[in-house]
Amino acid sequence: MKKLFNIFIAIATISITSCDEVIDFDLHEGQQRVMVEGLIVNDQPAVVKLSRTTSFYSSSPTPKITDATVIITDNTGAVDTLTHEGDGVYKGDNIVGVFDRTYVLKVIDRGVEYTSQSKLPRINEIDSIVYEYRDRQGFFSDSGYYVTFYAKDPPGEKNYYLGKYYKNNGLITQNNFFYLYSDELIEENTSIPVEFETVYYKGDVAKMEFFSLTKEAYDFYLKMISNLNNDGGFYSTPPANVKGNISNGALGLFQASGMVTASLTIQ
Amino acid sequence: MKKNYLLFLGLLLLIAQSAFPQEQKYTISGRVKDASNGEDLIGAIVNLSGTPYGASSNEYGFYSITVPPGKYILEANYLGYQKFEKEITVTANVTINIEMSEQVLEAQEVVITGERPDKNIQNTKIGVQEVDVKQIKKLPALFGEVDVIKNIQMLPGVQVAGEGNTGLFVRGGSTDQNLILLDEAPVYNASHLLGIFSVFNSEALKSAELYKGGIPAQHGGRLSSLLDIRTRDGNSKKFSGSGGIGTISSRLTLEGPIVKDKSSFIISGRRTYGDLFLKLSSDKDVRQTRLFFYDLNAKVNYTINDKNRIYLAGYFGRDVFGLGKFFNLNYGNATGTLRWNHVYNSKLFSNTTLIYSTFDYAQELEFSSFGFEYGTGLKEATIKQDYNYFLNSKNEIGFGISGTHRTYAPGIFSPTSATGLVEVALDKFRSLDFAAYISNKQKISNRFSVEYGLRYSLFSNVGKGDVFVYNGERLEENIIDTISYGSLENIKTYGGFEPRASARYLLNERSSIKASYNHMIQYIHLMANSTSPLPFNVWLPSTPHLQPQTSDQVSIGYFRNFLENKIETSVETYYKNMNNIPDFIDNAELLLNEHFETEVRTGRGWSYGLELFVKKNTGKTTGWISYTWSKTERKIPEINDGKVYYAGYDRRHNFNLVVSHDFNEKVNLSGNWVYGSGRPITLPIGKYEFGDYGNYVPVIYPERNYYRMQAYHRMDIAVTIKNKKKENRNWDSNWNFSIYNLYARKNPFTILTRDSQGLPKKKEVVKIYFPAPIPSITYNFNF
Repeated sequence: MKKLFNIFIAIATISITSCDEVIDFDLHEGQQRVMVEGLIVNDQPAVVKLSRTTSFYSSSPTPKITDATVIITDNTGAVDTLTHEGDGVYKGDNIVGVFDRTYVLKVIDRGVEYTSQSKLPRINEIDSIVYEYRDRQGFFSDSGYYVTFYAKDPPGEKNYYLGKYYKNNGLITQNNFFYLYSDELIEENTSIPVEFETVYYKGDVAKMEFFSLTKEAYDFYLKMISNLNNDGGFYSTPPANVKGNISNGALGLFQASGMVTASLTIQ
Repeated sequence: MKKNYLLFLGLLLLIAQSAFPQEQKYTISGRVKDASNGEDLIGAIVNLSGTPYGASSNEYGFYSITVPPGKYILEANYLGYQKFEKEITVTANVTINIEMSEQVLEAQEVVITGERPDKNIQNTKIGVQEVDVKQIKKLPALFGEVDVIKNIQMLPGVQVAGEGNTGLFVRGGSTDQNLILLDEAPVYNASHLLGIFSVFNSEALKSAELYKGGIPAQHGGRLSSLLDIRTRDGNSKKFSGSGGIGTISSRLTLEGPIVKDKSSFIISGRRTYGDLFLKLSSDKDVRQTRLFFYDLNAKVNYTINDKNRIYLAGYFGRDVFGLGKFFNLNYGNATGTLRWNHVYNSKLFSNTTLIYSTFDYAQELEFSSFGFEYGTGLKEATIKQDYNYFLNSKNEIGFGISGTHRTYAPGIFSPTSATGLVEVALDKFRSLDFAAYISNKQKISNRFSVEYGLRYSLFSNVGKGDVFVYNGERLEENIIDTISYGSLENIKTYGGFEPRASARYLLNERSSIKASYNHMIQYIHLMANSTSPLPFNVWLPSTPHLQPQTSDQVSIGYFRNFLENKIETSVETYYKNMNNIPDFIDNAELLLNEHFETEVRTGRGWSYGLELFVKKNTGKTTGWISYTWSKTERKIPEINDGKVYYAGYDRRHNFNLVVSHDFNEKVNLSGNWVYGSGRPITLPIGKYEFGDYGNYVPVIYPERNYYRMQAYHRMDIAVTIKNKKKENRNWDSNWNFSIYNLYARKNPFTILTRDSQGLPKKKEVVKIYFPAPIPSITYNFNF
């Protein structure tokens, strides 16, 4: 839903104002903070990335944290100390993600402890995946092949998802967007079509990864979209920070997800 | 409790009726009209020369003066009109209808007889600005679209949000705190094209008056201002027309008598035609794009006899935007007003009004994979009874009651193709309003006049509907129960007294000091999270979770005229405190949210300022200079960590200069220069990386509205050239050439941050602005 209104706002803004200019606005520099990006999916060990924030105008990549202690525990009492594999990326080995278990992440950096926890929500296997050729639809989509997969949303509680789409192994990240889905407007227990968010041509390999999210993680991604695409609050919501689920003032998200993948080649 | 309040009001009415001893006096009453077209003149000063007796005509041109028997000279003055004079002998109640002729600009020098009106000194109005709707047609306009709202933005005490935006921020109030009335019907979304133009077609307008304070007890429901816009009644003497062909739109107005001097009509339309040119494009998608808006005002009135007159007025306007069959949206207002003026006797004037107003928004999306329709809206029906009782030469009493029913549709989402989407229809909200008021304009002495009134308003949020129960803070996860209410069942009632008062003390013939106090209550709230509201933002009533907003404003002013009232000046200061004003939590989700209250927090806002105004109304050179110093802040628990922050439209300094000069009968040159110090904005203090390759670079923000934009300033000019009028042809025309933002100042529409183009992970600050200068040509005609 939100996306559709963003389209509207974008079109409106473009149609009204056509000029922009990069300006040198004197921005202050805030205190440096720790950024945590943790992920554990079913049947795989955890991956945690640690970095620090930097000044707005900085043109180098953000500094990575390479000497932190990173520990994952689950609600069965298992403990996994992750090892640094370079460039701020830490990987675990003896804990792999299991549906419905709760995981706790602990990061110790410069003597400060940051923690987070998340339950790993279930995800259904997909029912099928198909593609079809379609003509251009106005300003919205080009002629080409469109891939759709079908999956059922589990009944009962509210479910949230994140889709990642690849074309020939390249991740589609256009317009600073995340492809988010919630079952709020969806019929339960029906096979729902979900379209890949890009157009493919003959010979392309189309791949997707579909993640189940907690409400907390879903909200995090929504806020991230809003943060990345804010217009200064004129038509969009007032600019706001992305509230994550890490304690002690660190930024970021510890995400536990069920994941399904599918791919095909357009012929 | 409620009964006590009503009893109290009734008592007040009784006192007003009987408190003043009756002497042997007679009443002169009638209507003041324009001699050429029969339009009622609002606010004309009618007085008896050399006596303290006088009155001003009301919204329907009606006046009434009660005097001892005798010989008098009846005088009427109205700005831009020749003074009316008539000798009368009063021996009984008498009806005198006054017809006034417009001043004709002579070739040599403007000849004006009698004194200039000095009503700005004499009346008790403070914080009130009149807009001369004839004058604004000569002033420069963006794309040549003469816009009364844009002119109001150049008045003291009014702030502007961004370049070209029609939002009004009056004395620290937000855009939804303005009661905008079009022929007494509230207009819920007064803008076209996302706020670039207002819905008011200048051709149809008779008068526009902005009350920043000193709002009469007759009106209520919004905290910060009343904008009273009235349309013309239509020429009752002869058939005539006017119109214009502009850069982006065309206008046509037809008016004339249905029965001469008894009944007339006016119909006025405007439509933009930018999209018609898109049809010429070679690109199919561009050809299928629709982007236009239109306005239609229509009005008829019928004078049944001296004592009865009825008016029926309607407004319809829409914005339409479509991209082929895939994306369509349209939204607009419709209002209707049926009024019946009745003169019971020479002292008691009554007006009965039925009002209907609606705003709706509809959006459709239709792709092969999915489609849906989305809609929101609001409907209001009001019945109102107002009386003016011209008790005696010292007291003019107004009283009345009104009742309103509103239905609010906060959102309906219905899928149009079978994709497994489900329909979501948020429950409609309903509310009932009731208000009663009594007020009195009282001349205590020749020097001292007061106007005071009391309004009592009562508001009920009624069923059918659900109310959520929260355990602790209003968060979705804290909902522990839902209470359902049946149709028209009372969910929550709010009410309160709204005292209003203003006073004028004449220091001498040229100057006066005035003061006012206002208490206002606002029961409905616009769920708009952005600086410029969007058409899909919805209005909601006060509910058990969302209390009514209230404000108290005091203001003091000094008014002084120079050069025999040719130049009017004023200095006003105000302090306004607002309680329960809403703001929204970070990343508030306002679309299809069945528990809006989780996104809203309320708190205190305050504003204070100083406004200077110098105006020259007559002569070859007219115009005004205004300067405003003001400060507007808010403090709302749970927003900005509970710390005080500036409102998004807070500007410390505002300066406006508007000049119009008639070189001769044919050529007019006008221009304006506006300056506003920068408004607050939230921009980052840092950034970080996120995502698989660190390819998302979000930013870190400090407190809300931590930074300030650069100052805003702009100069516009316009030349109006009248074409030579051909003998024996009743066709008058002129050309208006206008340039907006003459020196091409790149004023920010907004400032935002984005990924640097080309350089990965680098960010940049970008200013979005209107291309300038924007020239436009308009051809105007009258016949």
